[in-house]
Amino acid sequence: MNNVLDLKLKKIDKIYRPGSKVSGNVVINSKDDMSHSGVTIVVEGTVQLQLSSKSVGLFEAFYNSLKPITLMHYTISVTNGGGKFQAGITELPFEFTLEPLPNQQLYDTYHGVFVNIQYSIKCDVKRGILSKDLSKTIEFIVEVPSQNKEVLMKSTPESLITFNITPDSLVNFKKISKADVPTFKISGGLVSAICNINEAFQGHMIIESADTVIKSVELQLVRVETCGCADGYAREVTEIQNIQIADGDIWRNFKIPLYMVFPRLFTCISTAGKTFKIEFEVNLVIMLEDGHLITENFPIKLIR
Amino acid sequence: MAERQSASSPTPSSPPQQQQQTPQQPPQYLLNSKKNFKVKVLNGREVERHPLNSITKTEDTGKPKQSSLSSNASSLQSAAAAASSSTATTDIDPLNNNNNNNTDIDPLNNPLEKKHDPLSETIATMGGLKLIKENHLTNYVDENFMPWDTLKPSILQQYTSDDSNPIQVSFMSTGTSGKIKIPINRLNKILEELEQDKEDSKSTQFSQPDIIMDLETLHSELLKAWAAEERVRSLKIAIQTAKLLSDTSLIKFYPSKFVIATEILDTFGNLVYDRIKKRLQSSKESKNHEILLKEQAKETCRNWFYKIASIRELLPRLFVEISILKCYEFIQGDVNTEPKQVINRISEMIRGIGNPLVANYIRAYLTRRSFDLCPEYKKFVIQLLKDFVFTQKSYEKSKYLENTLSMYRITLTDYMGLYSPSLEWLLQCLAHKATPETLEEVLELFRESKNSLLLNHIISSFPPEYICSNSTMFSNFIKDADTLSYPKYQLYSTFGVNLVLGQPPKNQILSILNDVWKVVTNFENIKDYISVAEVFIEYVLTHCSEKETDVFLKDILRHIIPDKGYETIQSHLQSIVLKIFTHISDFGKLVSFTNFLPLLDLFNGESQKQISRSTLEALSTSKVMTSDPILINTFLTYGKALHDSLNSLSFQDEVRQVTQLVVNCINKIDFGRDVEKQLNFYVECRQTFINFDGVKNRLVYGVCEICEKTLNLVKGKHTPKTTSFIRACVAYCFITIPSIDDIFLKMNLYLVSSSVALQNQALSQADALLKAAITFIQEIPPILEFKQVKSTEDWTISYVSDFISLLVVTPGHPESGPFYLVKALYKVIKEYQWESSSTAKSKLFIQLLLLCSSWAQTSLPYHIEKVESNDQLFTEDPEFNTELTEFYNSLIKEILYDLNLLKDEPDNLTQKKVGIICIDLINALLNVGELNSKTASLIFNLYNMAKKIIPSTCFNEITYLKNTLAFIGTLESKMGQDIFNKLSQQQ
Repeated sequence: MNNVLDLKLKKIDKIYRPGSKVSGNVVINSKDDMSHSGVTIVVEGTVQLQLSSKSVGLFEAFYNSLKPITLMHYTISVTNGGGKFQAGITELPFEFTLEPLPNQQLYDTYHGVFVNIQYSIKCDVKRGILSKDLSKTIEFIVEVPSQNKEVLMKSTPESLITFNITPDSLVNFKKISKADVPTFKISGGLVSAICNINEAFQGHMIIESADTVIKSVELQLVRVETCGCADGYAREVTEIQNIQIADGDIWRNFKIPLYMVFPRLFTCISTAGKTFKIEFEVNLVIMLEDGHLITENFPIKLIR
Repeated sequence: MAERQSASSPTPSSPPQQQQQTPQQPPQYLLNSKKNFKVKVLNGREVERHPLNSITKTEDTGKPKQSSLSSNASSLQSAAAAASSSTATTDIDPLNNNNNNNTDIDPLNNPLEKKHDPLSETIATMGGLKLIKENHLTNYVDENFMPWDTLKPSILQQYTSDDSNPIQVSFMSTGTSGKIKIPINRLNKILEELEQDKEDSKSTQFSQPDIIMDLETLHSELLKAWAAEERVRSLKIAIQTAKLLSDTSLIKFYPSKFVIATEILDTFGNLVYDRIKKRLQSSKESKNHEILLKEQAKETCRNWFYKIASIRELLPRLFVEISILKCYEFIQGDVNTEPKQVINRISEMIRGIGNPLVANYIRAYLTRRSFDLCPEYKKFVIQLLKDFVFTQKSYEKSKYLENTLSMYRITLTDYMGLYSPSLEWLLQCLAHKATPETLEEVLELFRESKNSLLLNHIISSFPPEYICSNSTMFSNFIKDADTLSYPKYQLYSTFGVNLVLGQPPKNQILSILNDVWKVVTNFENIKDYISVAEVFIEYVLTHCSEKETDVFLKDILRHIIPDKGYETIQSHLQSIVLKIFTHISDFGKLVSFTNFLPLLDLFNGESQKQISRSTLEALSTSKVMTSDPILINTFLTYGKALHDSLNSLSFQDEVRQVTQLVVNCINKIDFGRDVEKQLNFYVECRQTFINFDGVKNRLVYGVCEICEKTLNLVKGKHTPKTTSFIRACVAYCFITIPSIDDIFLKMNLYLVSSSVALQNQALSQADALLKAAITFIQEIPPILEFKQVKSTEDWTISYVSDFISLLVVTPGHPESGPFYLVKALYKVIKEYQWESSSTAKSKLFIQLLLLCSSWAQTSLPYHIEKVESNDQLFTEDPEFNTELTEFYNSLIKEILYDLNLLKDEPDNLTQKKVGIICIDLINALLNVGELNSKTASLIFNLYNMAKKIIPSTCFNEITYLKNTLAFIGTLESKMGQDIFNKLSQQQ
């Protein structure tokens, strides 16, 4: 390529909040002089919804609500019409304010399976008929502060959620009858079910007793994506990540911390739009040596 | 001295001698009988410097040969002592004293040390926070802290499943490094695994070399990947490495595996850290971008942590996070990055590791890496220890321990020993510069758990002072500790080491010992008992009096003598004895212990040999002279043991060392005025060390020394009693010398002892000694073959020259006549197997010429007190004079004959030597002979011959010739002038 077009944002982490100014440069690196007929920037934010194969065809009405939602769309002209770039590096600054379109609101950037919220900046250099137009797209990240600040009281004793798992507390038996379940008692607690996305999911767990050998204890982070409207909706649960917190037959009565960092991009604050909803849950999975699993589910709310 | 010069030096400077013209006599070489020697009585000190000795260095050249078997110093000393009739020399070296003072007060040392380094201070202030942090760490750690790097090799050495092969890792500085070749197919296999990133750990069992090979591969791959900027791959490799640590199948190898694997993780962690740091530093160049780049670096850092946080498995996640723990300093201010908080979190998360051994090692790793980040932070270590104790406690309730032991087929002690390195590290980090409160907290932990493994490491890593000042408490702790996890005797050993290092309160010293010993003395296993005793003997030696030491030894004896228990614990006993030797240098004091010598008797075999040696070493280094019979007996006993342990197959060097040792011991034994006892002692020594030439050499010198001492005691006048004693002494020499194998030693001894005999008026014995010496001259080998072939000619010449000088004063044999010895010597020299083209024979004959000259004088140049020499016995005897002249003539003839033989030799070297002999002979003749016509013509011929034969390139010899001619010119006699004129005309 003779001519290279690049977009550079001032903020290295490319994270912006609604209302803040996004500024950067269009960088053109050309070997020779280059004429053009205008450089424009298109800023776009969309929510894309998708149905899983099993939901397709269930509701016709869905298709309306599954249209991509445009949160923002601006076109900014960086140059005054056409002109010529000198050979070498040319930087053209641009700046815009991060604002939604009327009647819309901005959501956290989120890359999921059935819901995607993405923000992008696209730069086009028009170059007449003879030459190819140049184009470059970059993504930037939007983080929305939580609206309900009041829940930010973490790790107070009140917010502590305790749990106890015993054979009696189990409800869903697969491939085993209730009578065959070995006796065990597991207790623990979560610091809070409302988690700051930048912090970690925290808590602890104690195996007070167990008749069987424990192979592993894992924390599974799942997303719950809901698409649809009042007429009907599809709720999909998929795993984001699964990390081990205990390996082997851990000692009884040993307080083992539950700790999981929320991965970036794949998580966002718990969000609800008109036609979609993004929620998260954590499963505590205790794997036994014989292959059986004991699972405890904790719905959590992510905030910032 | 003047005479000697004129006889040998190239520039004769002495005034010419008065010539006596005797034309009526038949032309014969005649001796000048009127040489103005200064007549003097020879006293011992001048023995080595006498007129006839042509080579000044004789004594020196003789000595090194001796010293090959005995110490230079001692033989020189004893030789000097033997020759000296005056008081013994005190060898106080004035320089020595100075030196001692200097070491005490070194004006340069102290001020420098105390001074702060101004440079580092300024650097610290300039370099900002990070530099301070680094300095901080180096400041925090002092020499008491044993760094991980020093710990590593010992772990690698100790923990291996295969004792025959030492663990070798190419990328670690420890051990012999070398490029280890990795088979290609194996490499591919590992790489495939890497690519696939399999979740399940392999079920196949790997052998130890396989694992090491894997780790090698991982390390080189890590470096490769990093160099290729493949960060994700690097991370994967790190994860793979950490995964290896979850496998404990080769359990004995686990600690070593940990060492090697963490080395790789360290490399990874440091690479990540350094790269981010470099980025921050390079940002200096452009101020504008600084903030931007800083943000970028932070972002990179966060990315690393995010990536690591999503590692599925717990153990790799923890290990990798710990490895880059230091990077948290870059993102200070972010949530959950406060170092202490992070460390706490990780230390709690470690609880999730089910295998207690793996868990404890990752604890050690956490401590190690966090020590780099904030060394003062210790609280978490206590938590870690609590966790450790908790798991140990849980053994009791579960069957885990039993299962593990049977699974790995390992004994409990061995299994517990596997925890040692990790625990040691934990406690060391904790105890280093810890506050008393922290220590107390740890002790509390022990009180709760009674875990003896923990206690052992508490004792070994806490400061010795602390242990000592609380020794009673610790002693009780040991009693209380459980016997499950660690053997008691080991605890006592560790405890003892600390007590030795520190200084327990004075009033408690004995009570501690009693306290400990009450338990130890009841140990049933003798090995357990002795290994504690081995440590505590040092405690007794350092802190208690000698009486306690003796009691302590008694207790040891009481334990080990029944059932011959001592036979299995020789090495322990040996170390006990060695410790005693290092602490009590006064051997006499040691011997006075009633229980020490019985202890020494318990050794056998190789350890007996070593102990004997150490005993002698201790004895030889004691500072005082002694005549203590017990001590001497000890010396003889162990000396004999040592002597008997060596045979003809032993190494030369070993024999030499032992000889030296024995000689040193003999040097320490002195009976003062009781010379008879001294002689008896030497007799015993001879009997004991019959195979050591060096020792016998020393003994003969020793006997010579007591002869001189006796002579000194009676002030030169022997009483009948002392006379017979002297006879005994000389007889001793006479008997001992032939038993020495080394011919050079033997010859020297003959000379020394015969001169001593002469000095003590033991004339006939001296005669016998001299005669023996003459006989043995034949046996001097012309060349020595030791490493390289070396001619002995120089030595022989100088030796015979010495011998001739002694003959000057030796009175003639009453029956065989005055020429008995000289002629024998003449014959021996003549028949000796000199090397071809050697001029040694002529050289020695010239010496004999000079001897004849001395004898021709009315008074000899020197005398031995109270010995009538030949001048008093024969001067006026015409027969003597005739025989002398005859001998003189035959000598000259012999020399000329020799010269004739040699002068046709073609090579330059011989020609040169012949030339020198010619000139030497001219000078000799000029100095000792009457200048008659025959002599004159001989001189004339010799001169011409010399002139012809000396190669033109030998400037020294030509100058010698010229000077000789000039000397002839100075002669006042007519004959002299005639020769001079003739010779100069020729030119």
